[in-house]
Amino acid sequence: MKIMAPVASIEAAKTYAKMKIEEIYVGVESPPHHNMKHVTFTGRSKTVPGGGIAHLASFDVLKEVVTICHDNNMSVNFTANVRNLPEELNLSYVEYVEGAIGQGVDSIIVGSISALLLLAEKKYGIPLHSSTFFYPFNKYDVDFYKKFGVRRMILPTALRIEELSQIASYIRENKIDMELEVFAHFGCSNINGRCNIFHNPPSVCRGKYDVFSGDNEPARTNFEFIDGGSDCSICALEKLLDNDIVSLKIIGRGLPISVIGSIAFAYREAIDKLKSGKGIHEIRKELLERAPWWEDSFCRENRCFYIASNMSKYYV
Amino acid sequence: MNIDLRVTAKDDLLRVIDFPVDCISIGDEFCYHRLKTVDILKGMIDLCIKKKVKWRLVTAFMNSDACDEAFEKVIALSNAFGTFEIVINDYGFLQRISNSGKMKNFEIIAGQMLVHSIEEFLWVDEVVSKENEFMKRNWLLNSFINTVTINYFKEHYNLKGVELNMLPYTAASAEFLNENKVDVHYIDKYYTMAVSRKCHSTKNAGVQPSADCTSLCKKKYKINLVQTYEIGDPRKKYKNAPEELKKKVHDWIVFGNAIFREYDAYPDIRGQKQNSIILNYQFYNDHDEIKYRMQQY
Repeated sequence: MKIMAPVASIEAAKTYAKMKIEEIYVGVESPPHHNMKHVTFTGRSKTVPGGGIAHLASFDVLKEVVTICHDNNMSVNFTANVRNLPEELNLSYVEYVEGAIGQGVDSIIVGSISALLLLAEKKYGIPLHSSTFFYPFNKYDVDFYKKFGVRRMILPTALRIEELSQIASYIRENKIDMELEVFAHFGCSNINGRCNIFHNPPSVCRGKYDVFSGDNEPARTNFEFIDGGSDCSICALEKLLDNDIVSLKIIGRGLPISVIGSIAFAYREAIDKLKSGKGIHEIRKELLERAPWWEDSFCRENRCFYIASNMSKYYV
Repeated sequence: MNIDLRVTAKDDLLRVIDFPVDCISIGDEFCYHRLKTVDILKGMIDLCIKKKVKWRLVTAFMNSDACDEAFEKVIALSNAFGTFEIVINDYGFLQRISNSGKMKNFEIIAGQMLVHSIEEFLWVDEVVSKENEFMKRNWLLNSFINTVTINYFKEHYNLKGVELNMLPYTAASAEFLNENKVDVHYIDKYYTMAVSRKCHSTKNAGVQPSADCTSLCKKKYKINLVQTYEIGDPRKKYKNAPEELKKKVHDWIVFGNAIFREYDAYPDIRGQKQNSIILNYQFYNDHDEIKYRMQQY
């Protein structure tokens, strides 16, 4: 199981190479003639709230990043996962993707059904990864996406381990050429791709609300009514390994390398210890001793990915 | 405009079956548990047929088990009633039907989980404010405004229509869809801000979601933001929300696992005879409001 980290600079690529991160995901600002001032095809705007830059400045920089990564046996997954692709932007989008393929990226992450269909027709021969924006909750999604040349599905965070197992088993039993990727850390209250309040911190979805019933009668005051966020998959790692998950994605495009690096390090360490035979409970214990803030931030609130939690028992 | 009244329960259907509507849609886009048993669905459909009202089924996004159960239901209904329209909100479920070779038994309407627009995004103005009109217009169109997509779904999945919100740029995309022989079904009163896997209503009641909890999600909640959340120091993670943000996140509506916002204004779509307006029964305060909304179209 590999770790995947977001890259928006050459420095980040070099840092993660030293940390033995196996995969990165990266986007590029569109060329000037696309006339995109703030929007991009990367699934993010040019800057994220707080001012962080979410992607590389040009395809020339991408080439440098690809070189660094390939010299260090790291895969480069290119973000072309804009959520919607209207017809009039087809040509620009294809140019964007072809620009990345020309720099030697290893896969294209796609987030729009139109983009998927467009790229499937092109038959570039490069693996496509279906973004979590498609929220594949069941095993038949495998059949749907494989038709388009998708070779890896990025699963939604709000998935129980049993549901994930059903998808993994389906792939295994039917010998389908499909990999599965999950998010390691920092999740959303809502289904990605169907959330219109997605925002870098501070979070609205996890906030507190005054709640009224339909008759405007007060129901709850200052209460985290729509909070559904989960954040950590350390305790699920063993089960994720058992279910053939190939990659753990750390989110945080635009966040400082120090933040991403510290999260990535924790997962790198945990996976290496698991593979050496250590039990997950002991791994967690050692992590919390080393980084007590982890327990405060994630464990106390029972914000667990994939395993049973305070949130998952209310999943529809 | 055609009027489509959406219900989930037989009780609600009995209350509105004599309303002068063109179609009754049965089910829910966001929660599988609101798709009733085959017997109940048959009873509801029989009632529609008896009253000579067109009907269609609405299905949600689903895990693997729910997908298999829903498939058995739709096949049973198809065996009983022949070809019918089904609103799909899950590509996997669509594929399940296709895998069975029974795609021809259904006419597909792509629902809100598949058809969405960035125009719904809370900070949409920040995203597009710097763009020229061409880029802005395109960026705010919905996910099916591409002939590649429309042609593929018509050929492989019997696509007949899509469900859309009525925000300005989205409503403007209806012409493109109609030109490509795709019907548009607009959703009245509220547009969707977010859909969670977690059901807010049942968690509030301390009850786990199941087929027996569907009365809870009929209850409308209104929410106003007070504090935001930031991961970090547990003592400081909740902070008073800025006033500007409180104004934006005010009077939002919650049903079950979905969060909605009321339209500020409505486009004039009355002339679109081939298209429909969906009135979701649970959205309205009473029958008078439903009848008033019907009159607008």
